Amino acid sequence: MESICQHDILTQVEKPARYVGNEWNIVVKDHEKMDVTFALAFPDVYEVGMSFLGYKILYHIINRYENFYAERAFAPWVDMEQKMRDNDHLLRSSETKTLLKNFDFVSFTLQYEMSYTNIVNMLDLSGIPIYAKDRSGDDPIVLAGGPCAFNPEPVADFIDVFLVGEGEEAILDIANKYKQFKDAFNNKDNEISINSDEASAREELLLELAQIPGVYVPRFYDIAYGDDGRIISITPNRPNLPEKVMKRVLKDLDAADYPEDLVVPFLNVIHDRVMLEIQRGCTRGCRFCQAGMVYRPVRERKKENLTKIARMLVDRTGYDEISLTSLASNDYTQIEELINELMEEFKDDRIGISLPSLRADRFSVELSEKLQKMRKSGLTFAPEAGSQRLRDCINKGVNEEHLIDAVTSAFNAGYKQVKLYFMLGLPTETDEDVVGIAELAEKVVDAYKAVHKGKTGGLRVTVSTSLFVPKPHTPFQWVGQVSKHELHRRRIILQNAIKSKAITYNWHDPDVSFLEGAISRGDRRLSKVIYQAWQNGCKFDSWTEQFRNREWLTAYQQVGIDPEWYAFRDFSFDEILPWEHISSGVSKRFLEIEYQRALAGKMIDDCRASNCIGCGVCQALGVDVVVWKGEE
Amino acid sequence: MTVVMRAQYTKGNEVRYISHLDLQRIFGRTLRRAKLPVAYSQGFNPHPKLSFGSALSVGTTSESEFIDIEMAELIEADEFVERMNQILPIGFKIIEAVAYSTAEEGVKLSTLMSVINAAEYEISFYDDTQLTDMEAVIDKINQSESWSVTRSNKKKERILDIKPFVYSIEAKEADNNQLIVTAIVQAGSQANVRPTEIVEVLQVYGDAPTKSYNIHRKKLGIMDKGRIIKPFST
Repeated sequence: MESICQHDILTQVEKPARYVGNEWNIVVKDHEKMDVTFALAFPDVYEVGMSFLGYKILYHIINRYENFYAERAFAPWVDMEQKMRDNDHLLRSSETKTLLKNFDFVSFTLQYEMSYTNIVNMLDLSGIPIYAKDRSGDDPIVLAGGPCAFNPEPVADFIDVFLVGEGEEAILDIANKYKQFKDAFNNKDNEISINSDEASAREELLLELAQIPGVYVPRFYDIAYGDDGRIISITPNRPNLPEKVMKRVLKDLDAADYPEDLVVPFLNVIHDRVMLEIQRGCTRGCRFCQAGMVYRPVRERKKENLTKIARMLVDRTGYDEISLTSLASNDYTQIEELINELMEEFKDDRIGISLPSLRADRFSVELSEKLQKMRKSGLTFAPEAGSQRLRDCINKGVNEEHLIDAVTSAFNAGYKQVKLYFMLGLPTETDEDVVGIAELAEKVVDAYKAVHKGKTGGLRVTVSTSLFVPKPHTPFQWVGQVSKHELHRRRIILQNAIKSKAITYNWHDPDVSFLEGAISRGDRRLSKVIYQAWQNGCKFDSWTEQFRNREWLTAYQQVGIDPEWYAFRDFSFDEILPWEHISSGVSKRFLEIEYQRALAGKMIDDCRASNCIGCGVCQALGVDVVVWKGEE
Repeated sequence: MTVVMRAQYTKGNEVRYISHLDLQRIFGRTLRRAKLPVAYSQGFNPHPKLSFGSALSVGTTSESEFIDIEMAELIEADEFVERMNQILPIGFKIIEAVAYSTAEEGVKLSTLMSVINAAEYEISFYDDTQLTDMEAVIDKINQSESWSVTRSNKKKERILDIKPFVYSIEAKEADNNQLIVTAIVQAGSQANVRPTEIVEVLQVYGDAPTKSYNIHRKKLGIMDKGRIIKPFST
């Protein structure tokens, strides 16, 4: 009667299509015939997971091999979770409805710190022991990767194996190593006895996996703390393990396979379009930006290949929009040529082309005009800071003149909505910098008036601020956040400085940013806090209506850890950081010099366009910046 | 000249939880993959011109859904069916299609919404209710003067007597011994009875047991001399 019960449940939950699968382009295989199986678990709802490019890439990379199988699994929304718990249903995969606990690997995408309670919840819903130390031979290996794996420590107690850096090659290394080990173990098993020691076999397997470059197995690293709570050492407790785990990186992105048979969701997901990754990495060098540091170096895909891939993707998915995805898409060397080529290729197909992120300083009139012909919506810019002084300090190469040029050309082209993103609480920020945000927004309004004969009819300028969150592996990794009280004061200053009715001011919940700040620079001791917060009912913390601030703060108290010690404290340069044993290839020395330059208000260049700035990534990883200028 | 492809399709078990609102997008993408010449709306966000028959509620399977697709050029219905069935997600299948062209004399196609007025549902009960018990339930409800059900939309709840809109309710036993209640009701823009309301009537007026059930739309179309015909005639 299982299927009937399932039907009863699905008719009572919101958006049941989240749990059913059967979308176009899914891969269905027979588990019995597989050597290695992965449940790619995304710790958020379907609509978020299906919008994440890295997740989709892994699915297709693994499934390209006939003896490997990757299925998808998402966090059930709270209504579905309740039904599952009421009926003793365990979490299953999307494609073949296999229990997660019956996979060889359950792998989580670490996309955002505030999804960590969902990882705990999904393990619990799967019937898999939450703490790695409690798992035995029968349990899956719990794997995690993604941007937040660059500080794996806060979730280190729950995860068996982390994959640091780019996953395309490393995931296959892991699968192959697992298969080798399983084959060897089964052979040995036959020779010796039926009751071989599964616990030590698991340990041996983990040791094998820890030999793979980019793989970090937290149980093999001991952390020692001093009396003041700071870390005094991080040491491998097994021989032949690296002291620093270097991230994985693809040398030649252009040669890497791109998934063409993308799964096409039935539900309207957040990024419901072809995501064409035109390049990886960004070397603009914004000093707060983790992605800009950890995805180095810049590697572009060749324009000709991108057009081919785009054609294939459109034909196989039926999507009517292509998003040119990357960290800063119009930094792509031949961006205009690429757009021209794509427009030519799809001129009879009614395909919209969009750039997800626009730099205010390079957005040419021509580019906006071109894209606007096909599809028109609001424009979003992220100056990040209000004054030129602070923008120079964070190395955000945006100046006012270029921003006003950009919005003026947009207004001329008929755009009426502009969103401007800023951060409050950046290092060295003063009240003048805060007022500068309002002044910049007012100048955008003036630019509209200049185009529309002094009128502001129809214009909407949205100013959004969020609290600066210091991220590991950035030049600002040592800097603490400002207190809630101080943030509030600055927010009022900004609000009072905004005069025009065309400007709307929004701010991101500071409680979430504070907790994010604590976890972002947290160490292994925070695993207990995350577990306790989950026990207190926290999950879907990035969803406003689910976020439980009080339960989080209570969890910190219960465990006896002060979140402010992590969030507000300025870490010292000689301190061993919780992520000291994880390397993005960018040297700590470079980050420190960059921080000093920030304090001095000195900017640095983008190495894509000029000389090497000595961040160290190419030398550490044996890679190069790859750009295509069209002369090849 | 306007060319419309009218098609009957299934919505099977695999796709029963997809909402009516998502169908527009799903068919749009399928038509694009099939590279069929579809007519698009004007404007900055052109979308294929599609219209559907009576909406099917989430969780209900059907072998009789209808869609009108405005084509940019005339193509053979058989070709359309073949190409669509190669590229539709599992659970959807085109059963039959007819191409209509206004260039032909006297052809004027009324919209699906305006012509569809009847539906036949099969409600299967997954328990040990016997056929004779269910027949007694149906006898009992037939003796009631009216069948009042509560219908709620976003704004308000109202009580509605659906008895005048029900043609027949009968019980039978399927080959696999499963008990099936077949209900033929009015459907569409004039008057519409929801199959869950039939279940409610069986329970409230006939004391039928409240157990798991499954609903399948067997037919959708035009009531013609006591039977439902497909909306393919012009």
